[in-house]
Amino acid sequence: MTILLVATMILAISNFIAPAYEARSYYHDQIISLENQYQLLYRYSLHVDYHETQLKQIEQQLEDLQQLYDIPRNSAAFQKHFGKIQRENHLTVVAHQTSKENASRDLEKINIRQTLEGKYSNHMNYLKAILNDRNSILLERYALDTSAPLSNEPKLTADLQLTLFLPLK
Amino acid sequence: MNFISGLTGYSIKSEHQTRILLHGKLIYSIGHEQTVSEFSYETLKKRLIGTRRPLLFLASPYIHSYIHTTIQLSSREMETADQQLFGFRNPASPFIMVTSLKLNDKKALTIHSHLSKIGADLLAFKRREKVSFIWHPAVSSFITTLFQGSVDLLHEKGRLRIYLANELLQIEKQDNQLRCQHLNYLQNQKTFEDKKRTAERILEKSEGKQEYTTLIFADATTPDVESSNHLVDPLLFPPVRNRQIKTVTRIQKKRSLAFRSIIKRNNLLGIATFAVIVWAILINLHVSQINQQRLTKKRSIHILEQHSARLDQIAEIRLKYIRFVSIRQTANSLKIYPARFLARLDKILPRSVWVRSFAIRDDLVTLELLDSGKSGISTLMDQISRQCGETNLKSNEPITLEKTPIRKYAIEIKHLNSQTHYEKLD
Repeated sequence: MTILLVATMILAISNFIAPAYEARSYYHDQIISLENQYQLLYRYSLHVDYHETQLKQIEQQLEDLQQLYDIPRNSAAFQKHFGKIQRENHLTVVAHQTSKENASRDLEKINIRQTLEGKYSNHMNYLKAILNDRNSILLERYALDTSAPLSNEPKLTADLQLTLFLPLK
Repeated sequence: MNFISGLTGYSIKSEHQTRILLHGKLIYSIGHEQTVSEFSYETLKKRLIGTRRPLLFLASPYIHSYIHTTIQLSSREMETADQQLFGFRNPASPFIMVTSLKLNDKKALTIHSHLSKIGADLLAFKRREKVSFIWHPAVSSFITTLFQGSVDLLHEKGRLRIYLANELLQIEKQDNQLRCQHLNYLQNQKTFEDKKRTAERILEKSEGKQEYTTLIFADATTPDVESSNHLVDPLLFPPVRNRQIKTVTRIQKKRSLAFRSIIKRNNLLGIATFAVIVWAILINLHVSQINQQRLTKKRSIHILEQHSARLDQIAEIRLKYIRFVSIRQTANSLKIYPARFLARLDKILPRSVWVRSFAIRDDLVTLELLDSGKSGISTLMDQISRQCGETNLKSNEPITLEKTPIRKYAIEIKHLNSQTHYEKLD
């Protein structure tokens, strides 16, 4: 009986009490480290709701911006877009060339070369139309030439070199 | 139950106390007037209640007595002797009294009195009934009283036999010293006569037939009883303690070698084991609680990590948006506006001068002007330079156009005034 009781005590101490104390110390250490991590993360993600609200606005604006670039991304649509403005301003297209290249990892560059014929006022209105604030077309080079400088309403030939930078989707 | 309390009156001797001897199934009582009577066990309670602290003398089977001659023993040696003699033979005895009577310098008479279970039950029963009494082991009391010489029962023949229900005590006085013989376990014989015959046969076998003063505590019908009543009265008194008598009493729990103490040791171990198990349960419960706390914290961190990942996503989307916006802003800031330059130039040029060709790239403008009048190139250059930027005249040559002599100027304007021709960067 005595041996049985002593054996029970030894077994209880070695199998339950000693491991429990080891586990307790391990859990305590873990809780301290987790608490530190929790504090850091809590501070970082404290205003997640605010950021979520802001994100909705940003996403809406991004969607709007992406829509703006939808036309330049499609070559046919882009040419159609220019053609419409040229017709509105009574300009004759002599030449129109478009080429695309990647300017950087996340930026696409579209080069446009146009030769147009028309009156001075038409050229100026055309420039105003394509270089408005809504689109980000850059005019790299502009040349205006006339073959009949002495006439009252000379026909002018404009040579435009345009560039457009698009963020890659 | 405190059995020792029954011995507090060890040295009290009052002639008016009721004295009762319990032995076998017999109860023998001496009242106030030294009247001897016998009564049944059932009437004992009534007898005890009516008297003031009666004296009870217990013999077999309530008390088991053992007598032997030893050397003089110290108190510790008396205990050891008792344990060695009866270590496991009578383990359940709840009360033990060892009395040593000093016979001479070398010899002593040692009497062991062990309270039996029946005796303990009797005492417990009477205590429950709230009856107050003092009790003594009968055999030990008889021998001690005779040893002290307060009773002169040995004077006549020098030999005395006391017959009790289950035992016989024979005392002889030789050379002023007591010699005792004690026969126990006579309860197997059915009648008192059988017991007496058996005991005498045993004793006379070893010592021969001799004459004894007899004292019989037995059935009142026995002829000797009436004649010996006057002898009984002085014998049934508690012994007086003196230097020649040494007594050690022990109660059951102090008896280390008794079986119960071994059980108690296991009880202690059992309690310790129980405590260890409770400890194990409690510490494991505590650890489980801490683990729960840890898991809760982990879950919270997991949720926060999800928030954090979401915030990273939001940051990336915001970065993308900022890149978009900055591209647009940069493009707008780098735009050149030929129309604006040409409108300004229109204001500068005199009526006789008009533009034949115009080219603009970055902040460099090349102009080809035709002049049909005599406006003077220097004034024109000065005005363009002041309002548009650094102006250089590349060529100035006369040409004929449609039979009209005119002058052709080639002009280059560097570092165009940004306020005029570029959007502001901010």
